[in-house]
Amino acid sequence: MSQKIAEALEDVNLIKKVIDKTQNDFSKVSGFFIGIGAVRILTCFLYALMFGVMKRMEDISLVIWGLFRGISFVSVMGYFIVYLIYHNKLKQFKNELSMSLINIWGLLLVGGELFRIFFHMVSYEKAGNNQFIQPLFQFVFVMIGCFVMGFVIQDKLIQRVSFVMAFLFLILAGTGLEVRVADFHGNDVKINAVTVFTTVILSVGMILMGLYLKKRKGE
Amino acid sequence: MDLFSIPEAFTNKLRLAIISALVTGEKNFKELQNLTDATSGNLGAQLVKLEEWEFIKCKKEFINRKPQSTYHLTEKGLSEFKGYVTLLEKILKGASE
Repeated sequence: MSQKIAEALEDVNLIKKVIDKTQNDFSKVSGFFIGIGAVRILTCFLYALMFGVMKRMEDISLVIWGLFRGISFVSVMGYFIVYLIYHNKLKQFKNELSMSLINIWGLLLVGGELFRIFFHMVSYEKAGNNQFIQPLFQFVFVMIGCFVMGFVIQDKLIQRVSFVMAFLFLILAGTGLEVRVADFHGNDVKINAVTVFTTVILSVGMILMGLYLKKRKGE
Repeated sequence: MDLFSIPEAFTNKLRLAIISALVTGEKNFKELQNLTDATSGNLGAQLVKLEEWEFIKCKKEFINRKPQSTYHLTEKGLSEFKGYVTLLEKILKGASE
């Protein structure tokens, strides 16, 4: 009888180990982050394209200006679509942790973008503040997501990288460094370094996170 | 289910691991291999047996022109698994009393 008990205990431990492993497998969430990164890259591409068009125009009509401003909504729609796709994909898998992560990130990214756009609209005249405040909003929401994810899935690498990114952001914000990106009708167009940093994190950073989660095996 | 009528599906550790992995949703071959740490040959052989006994079902489709097999537990497989877990609980409860 004791052999049966030992075998029963072995089987219970095996079942528990395998099911735990399935819950710690976040490879299905990886596509979500790669999608977010791709949306960000697409948004940057659209900004560059519109900027190129506007640069060649003598007079910029309200319509063109409106289209340029409207690119912000592309990222909101893009994030929302990516969220919906992965939310529906994950429904069939009983991985509650992955589902919670997708929901948290969806809220942070979509909500964060909407909040940023709203803030930009109501404080449009204060251009100086916008240069720092807007990337700050974006960065804060993404960092909250990274920290929460790092602690929830107990991933030391994500936790450490999040701290380093936050530290770098503070340093860049403190220096007030600006980067000249283009010439627009005889005027220099400069972007705050934190904006560039935030864009890189939201694009390349998200893609790298997705690839890392794909390779990361359940422990 | 009792000690003397345990289905053959649960008498092998790899088969038990496969069924446990499928409890949380369908998985493809590669995912099952990662979860069970089995060789592809051994995994393939056990999946065939489980399919013959109607514990699991295989869905074959083409994704990006590559054939992919996805496995899920049948209702029979899930109910037998629940029965086996109940039996394990009884054995361990009996041991602790």
